[in-house]
Amino acid sequence: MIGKIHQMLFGLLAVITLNACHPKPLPTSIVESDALGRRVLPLTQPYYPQWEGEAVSPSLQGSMETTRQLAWRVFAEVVTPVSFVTRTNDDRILQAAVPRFLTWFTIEDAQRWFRYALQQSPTDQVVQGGSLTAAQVDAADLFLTHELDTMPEPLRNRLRLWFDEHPEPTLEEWSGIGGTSRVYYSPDLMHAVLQNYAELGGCFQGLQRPAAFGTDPTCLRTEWPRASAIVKAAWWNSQSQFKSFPTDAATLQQLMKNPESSWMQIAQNQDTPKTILSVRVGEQQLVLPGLHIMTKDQKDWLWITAWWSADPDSDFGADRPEFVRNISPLLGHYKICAVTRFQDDAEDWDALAQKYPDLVAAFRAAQSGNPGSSWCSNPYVEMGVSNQRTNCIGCHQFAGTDARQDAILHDAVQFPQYGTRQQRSNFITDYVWSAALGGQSLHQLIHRNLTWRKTLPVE
Amino acid sequence: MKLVMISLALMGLAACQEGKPTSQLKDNPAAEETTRGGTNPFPVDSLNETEIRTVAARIGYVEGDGHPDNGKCIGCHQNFNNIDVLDDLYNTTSWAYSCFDSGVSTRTEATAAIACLTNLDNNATDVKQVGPGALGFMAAGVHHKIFKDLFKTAGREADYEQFRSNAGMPLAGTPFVDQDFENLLAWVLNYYPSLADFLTHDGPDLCRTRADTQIGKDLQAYVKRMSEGGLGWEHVNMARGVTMFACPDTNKHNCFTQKGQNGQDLFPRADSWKAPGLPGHMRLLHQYDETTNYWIRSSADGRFVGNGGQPSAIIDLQNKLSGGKARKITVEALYDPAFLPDNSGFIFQGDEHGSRICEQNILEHEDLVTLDFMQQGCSKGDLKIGLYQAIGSNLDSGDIRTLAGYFSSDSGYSINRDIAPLFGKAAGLTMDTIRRVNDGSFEKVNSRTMSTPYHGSWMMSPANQIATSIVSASTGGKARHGGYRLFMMNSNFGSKGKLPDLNDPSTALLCTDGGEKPSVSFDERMLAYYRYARQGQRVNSLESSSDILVYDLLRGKEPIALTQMPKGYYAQFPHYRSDGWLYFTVLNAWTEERFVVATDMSIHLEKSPITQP
Repeated sequence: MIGKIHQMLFGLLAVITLNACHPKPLPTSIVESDALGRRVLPLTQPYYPQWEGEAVSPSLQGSMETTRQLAWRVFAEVVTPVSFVTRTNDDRILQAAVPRFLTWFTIEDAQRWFRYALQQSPTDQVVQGGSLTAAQVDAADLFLTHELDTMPEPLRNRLRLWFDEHPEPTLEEWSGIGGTSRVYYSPDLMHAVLQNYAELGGCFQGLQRPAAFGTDPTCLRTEWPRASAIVKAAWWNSQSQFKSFPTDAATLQQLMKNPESSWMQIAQNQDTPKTILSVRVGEQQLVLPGLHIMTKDQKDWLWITAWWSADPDSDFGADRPEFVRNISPLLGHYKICAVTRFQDDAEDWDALAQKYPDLVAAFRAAQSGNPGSSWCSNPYVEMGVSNQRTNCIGCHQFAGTDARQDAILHDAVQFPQYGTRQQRSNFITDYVWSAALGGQSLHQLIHRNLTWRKTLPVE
Repeated sequence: MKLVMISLALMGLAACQEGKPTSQLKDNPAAEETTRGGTNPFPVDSLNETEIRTVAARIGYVEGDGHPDNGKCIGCHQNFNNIDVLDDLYNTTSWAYSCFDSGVSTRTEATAAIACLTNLDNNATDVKQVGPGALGFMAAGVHHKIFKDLFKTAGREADYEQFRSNAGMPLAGTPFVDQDFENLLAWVLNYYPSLADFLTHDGPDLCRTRADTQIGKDLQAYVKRMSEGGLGWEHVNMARGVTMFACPDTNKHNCFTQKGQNGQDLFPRADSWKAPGLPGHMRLLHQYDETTNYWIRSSADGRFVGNGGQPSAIIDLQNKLSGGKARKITVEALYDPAFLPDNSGFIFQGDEHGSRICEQNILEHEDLVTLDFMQQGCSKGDLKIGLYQAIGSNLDSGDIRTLAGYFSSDSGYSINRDIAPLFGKAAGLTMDTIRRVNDGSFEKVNSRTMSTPYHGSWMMSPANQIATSIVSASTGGKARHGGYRLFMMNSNFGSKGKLPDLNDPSTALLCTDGGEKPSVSFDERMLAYYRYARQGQRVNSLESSSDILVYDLLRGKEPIALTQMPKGYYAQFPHYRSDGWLYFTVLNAWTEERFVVATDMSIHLEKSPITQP
């Protein structure tokens, strides 16, 4: 025991040094999604692209007003509740609704989906890396919806208990039954990833990734499909201290002046709002103050981020369309920004300023922290120092490489202007960080399950 | 004078231990001293009652006279209240003391003494590397003038500071003044005169018999919801698709049945260790190639097994499925691995990194050889969690909770008989809440302490809703095992600064007649623990054993012994993985080999109740 006491004291000394160097991050809550949710919620609902023009469109890229109008439509498409009917354990039929993106694939859904698909596939097919057929994809989709019925009785009891305790579930309760996730993938994207698993699965060896500025070709034979969409959600426990962030021009101007600043400098404590998208998981209420949405509406994706605001009709909410206001009171307090390209060369700023002076003033203030680049940053998601000066697309161009996100933000030599300018011409994973980064990545999911598949008896 | 005092020490030990075999001490250098005379420079004088009280105060057994040096030891070394630990310290101290027996007045003598001190520490090749554990109470005297002179005489004056820094105690504050250390040494080498006065125990008179077991109705209802209602981590993990290691299908009993190309089991059976008449099997998962330290724990999916040591390690069993060797990931920590129940993270303790939590998925990368906590996904600073921590995750929010309180210690090699836990009125508990933060790391967000008199060795269920403790009971002033007390960690738990009453319906008292730190299954229903064989006296490690037992919190009744280990075999450190398979280690004291073993016997017991004589 003497040894144990020694090291405790050394540890105390270490923390004093380390804590001084890091800004205080914000707590997030994740309760991973599971088979109960898939049993109750509808089949994954597609993302329908909202841009009807070409995948590379000067009319979109050159107009901030067009970009924002499109972004509001996408926001509405992604968060608007979709209706469904579901069956209770005792065969009662209930009608319900949840935001569309909550029906999408989580990494846990994908894990179970892919494991089932591999288990059902002939060994030869898997050994050769053969793509899954459309029938195999359909079968795996169907499996997810009734997987719970194949599981041990206690799990079915759990669903029964949930229905007993929620005889008339609210939107918040329906939305939380399957847990939550940090990242949600539209079905077209996840199907593309898993159907051609050998492609992404064979892209990397272990932790090794291509160099940030290497000229390696992309992993992918084709880009992700047009109906691809990803939501990155920042769930907060409602018992945590809630914070709001003013985004008016004066505040942003001040924020961007300080080279060491981050969004946290302008955080304001307040009670957890009632008008915010939330889910109830067991006894916990989780709220969604911020979310990223990236859609493959155009070749280089459409980058949108939305954040809760106490005054939703000002600055970045000034142009909020009526159809967004009408979705639901819970969705009526979000502002957005949106980006279609690396640089800021929209031609309609002056015209936009005529219509929405507060919006353009706020934009100008935000861009003052990194002139020349486009701008879009979420106070609830981008927490690091200087992260408020970024534009989503700049960082994501390095997805699949060994570039570290802290280096992108702070190594001004390698990544000028906080990594917001275009530095690559090919994109290893088509801009998707979660394809290759970390143990929860799609690559790791494929690798893990292929390894598991090899341990099964040969049929 | 010295000769007389050493003899008294041996008499004291014999009297205290009532017939302890002399073979334990026959090679004791202090005993040698009785025939050689020697010129040991440390005085070992007899102490009067006042001096003894002063020593006891300096250590911290009694309050004393308010001297600022009082309480130097016990604040950190709570195990100084454990008689077997004090026994070991007596021996270690004696060996260290004996290094001075031939005197230190010449360069040759001093050099020999330094070499002797070096030899006391198996991990040291030079005296500068000697740690305090090798010196016993002598570690509190390395600041003494005699030690300084020793290095000077040997011509190694320059090495003294590093030796003192490595081996000296206490770590913080001022060291003992020379006179106080001399009195302490005399007290130890006289075998703790009047120790019984200090250790007389006044714990509650609980669990006189096994029939005193009681399980509150609220706690039992909770267990029912978690297990049969499918709300516990076992079923949550199943619903999320957590893949259990070495399970080819959904039948749990088919796990670990894989065969190699030669048709032999990849995980050989070890059913000879099973208690007779019970269903299920035991499988050997791994054999360690070096000494481990303190407990082992495994990931929720059973793929990773962490152990303390120097260095610590995490064993990845994955390659075994293809007939290969387990992969070892070295960890820059010393002990106390534990894994989160949702298969998402793990904690280690010790060394310069302190308490660190990392995302579990970083372990999957086959090119990870050494974990130094600089990896992305590890907490960036020391989370400052107490040792022997329990860890669990909230089912509704994913919030992580840790419990750390007073504990008794078991290195895995140091104990070989069932000894009474000793926790006093001052025992306490700290509960920390930790959350993931959005930079991919972990942060402590809340910390609460509470008084837990006579309760220690706290553990916690995976869903962090049941806290378990061992009660330090007493009868007639003598300490004994007072069973396991379980508490639901609801708003009542510690709300008034004290533990709930015995008759509180959200608590339980399991009178198991012994047992070490327990582990609760992922459906919160089964409690597994290990128990050393009851011995009337200290015995050699080849003459004793320890077994694994489980208690069914849903059915109640009696604990069931899963193992029946032969003498010299120690089944230790049981803990569950998500699907109910139970992992533990077996130490073969004859060969000093240690194995990781898994069994599905507890799963069988959930399905069909069995009683044992």
